[in-house]
Amino acid sequence: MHDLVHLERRGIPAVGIATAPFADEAIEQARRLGMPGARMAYIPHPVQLLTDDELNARADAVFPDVLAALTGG
Amino acid sequence: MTESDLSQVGAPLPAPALSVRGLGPAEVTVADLTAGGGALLLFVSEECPTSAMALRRLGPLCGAWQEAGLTATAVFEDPLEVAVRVARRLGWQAGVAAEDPPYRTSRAYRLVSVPTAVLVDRGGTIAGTVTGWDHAALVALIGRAGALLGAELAIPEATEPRLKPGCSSKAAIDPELAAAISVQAGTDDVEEMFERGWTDGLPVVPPTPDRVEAMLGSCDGRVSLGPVPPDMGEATLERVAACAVLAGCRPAYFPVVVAAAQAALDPAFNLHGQAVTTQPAGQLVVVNGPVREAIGLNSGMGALGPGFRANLTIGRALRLLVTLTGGGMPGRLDRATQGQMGKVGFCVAENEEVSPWEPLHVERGFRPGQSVVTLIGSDAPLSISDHRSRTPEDLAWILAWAAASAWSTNWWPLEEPSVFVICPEHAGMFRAAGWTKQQLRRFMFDAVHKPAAELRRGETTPFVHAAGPAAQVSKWASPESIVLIVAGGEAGRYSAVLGPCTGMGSQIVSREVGSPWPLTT
Amino acid sequence: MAADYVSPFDERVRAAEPLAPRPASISGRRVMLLDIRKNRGAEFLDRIETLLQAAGAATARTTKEIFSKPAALALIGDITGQADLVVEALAD
Repeated sequence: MHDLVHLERRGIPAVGIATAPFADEAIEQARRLGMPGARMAYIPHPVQLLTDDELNARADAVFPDVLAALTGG
Repeated sequence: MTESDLSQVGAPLPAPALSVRGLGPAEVTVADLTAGGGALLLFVSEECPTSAMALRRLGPLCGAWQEAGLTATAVFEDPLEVAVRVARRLGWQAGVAAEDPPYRTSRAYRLVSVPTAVLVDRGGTIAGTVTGWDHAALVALIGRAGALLGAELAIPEATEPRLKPGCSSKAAIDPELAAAISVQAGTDDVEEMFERGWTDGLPVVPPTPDRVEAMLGSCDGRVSLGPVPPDMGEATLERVAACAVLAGCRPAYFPVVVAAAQAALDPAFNLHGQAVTTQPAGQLVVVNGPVREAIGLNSGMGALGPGFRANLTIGRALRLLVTLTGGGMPGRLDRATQGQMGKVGFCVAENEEVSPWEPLHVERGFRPGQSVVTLIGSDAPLSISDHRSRTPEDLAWILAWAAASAWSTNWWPLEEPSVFVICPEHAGMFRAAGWTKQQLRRFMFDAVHKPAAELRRGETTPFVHAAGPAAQVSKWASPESIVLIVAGGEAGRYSAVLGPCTGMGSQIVSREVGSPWPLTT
Repeated sequence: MAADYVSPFDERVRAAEPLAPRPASISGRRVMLLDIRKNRGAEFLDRIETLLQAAGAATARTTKEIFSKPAALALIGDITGQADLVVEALAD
């Protein structure tokens, strides 16, 4: 979250991708850093034990959110 | 990432010696920790979320474990003060120890990541390890500990996530890099304040609950002084105290900070206008009365400059209230084109002792023995040198004409106040001549005038435009626009004048400092 | 990392820092993929990279030296020189 805030402050739109359990932490951290609007996209937990195909499916599923976060959608 | 190894390959491995700092003066040894029957070492690090989760989930179990003979110790790869703070925050009440770089203990235990739980039996042998948060493996490890002790030990609940990898152990990082990271660990609090935007550009004192509590003293933190413009954040005393801590105030200064905040938030002062204007307006805080000496406010040499904690931090605390709680941050809601350094904070104590006159607060209706703050919206000081005038008239003339361009060269007359800070040597000349404050004020007012024709260039007032060309126009709308205070060192003939913030109807506001304030710093 | 400090802000009213302005589309933009080096992150970003390229973006990859700390300011500086947009992944 620090990285995303640093980048946004320098004029670079950024998005972080994390697994769902990270959401609370990310939101809190963004608020603390003064940028509650910092963008995140989430995929379901866990990922460690996924097959390659399943991992790709996660990426495909979250991609629209990633695009939206980078283009102000 | 979540291996657990409960079997022993070859001969049982002895638990390496600990090279850690504990809370007491005595050395922390494996033998001490296993004396009850067994020890659980939980290696953690402050910035690792999985470590935090482990501490939170296992913390409540340690009490019962201790009774059964299993001594739990959290070994932090962080400075001891960080370890203690984090443990307290996460509710870990069992043992705490800390490693310094290069983390010999972590290396000796072959850690790759934290958290790592290591079970050590009475003989000092490693009976099992669990890396990361692995609920099933931890239950097995605790079961093993129970078997060693002949007791049934409480296990953590199976809440999600049941499996979570940890973070790299600092021992697994190159030693030089680890040392470099650790050096930064001590300054993390300071950097954290910058990261959060809780500063005015200078480092601040992190407002921990302990510090804020000490600052509040017997005040009720929930009491509100009202909304702080421009964002209208509510100025609870707790937030005012947080600003005072951030600024570096001592608790003894707090009553003065509160009084300054109350004065600034008086609608007559129009803080809102000052907070968002393009003018370089700052909030000048003048302090009078016994509180000056009680808290070490400087009214002598360097009275308008740096060097004295009370002056600098009280002025700064008020400004942080405006820029943080009120959101009036330069570059965002504060639109001052250039600003001025007084906006970092500007608190002046009047030198009542060498002044020939009644102090500002007495002029404004208070008793001499009352401690009072007076808030004036003003811009930066203009220095006035006069080392050669030999008469009070000449000196008064020089002082007055120095302010001719206050606010703007031809913007005459000025209704809003000009604050003259008269140095002791200059005041001494008026004392020797027996001039009262009112006489000086009247003389200065009468001295500065010009025919309207000479003011009709560039920015000027409607009054000047409407006046006949030969009509005399005064610099000020009335003598009351001239505020006079005395401050500065006893040697040297430099006075100063501060121009106003204009056009927003800001009134000068005074407020008594609430008592009792502590008489010792 | 988050110690419980007493905030000087009234959270209900705190003016949030604005985000950087967004482009209308990523087509023709340079996207930096920042790998925080947790498990499966690289493969995950491989797929995201493919999708970004299919959408018309130019892509580049870089990694963070230690995932548990904010990226070094030098790295942030490098990124801002080389990219218009950033995707950071995968926090697990």
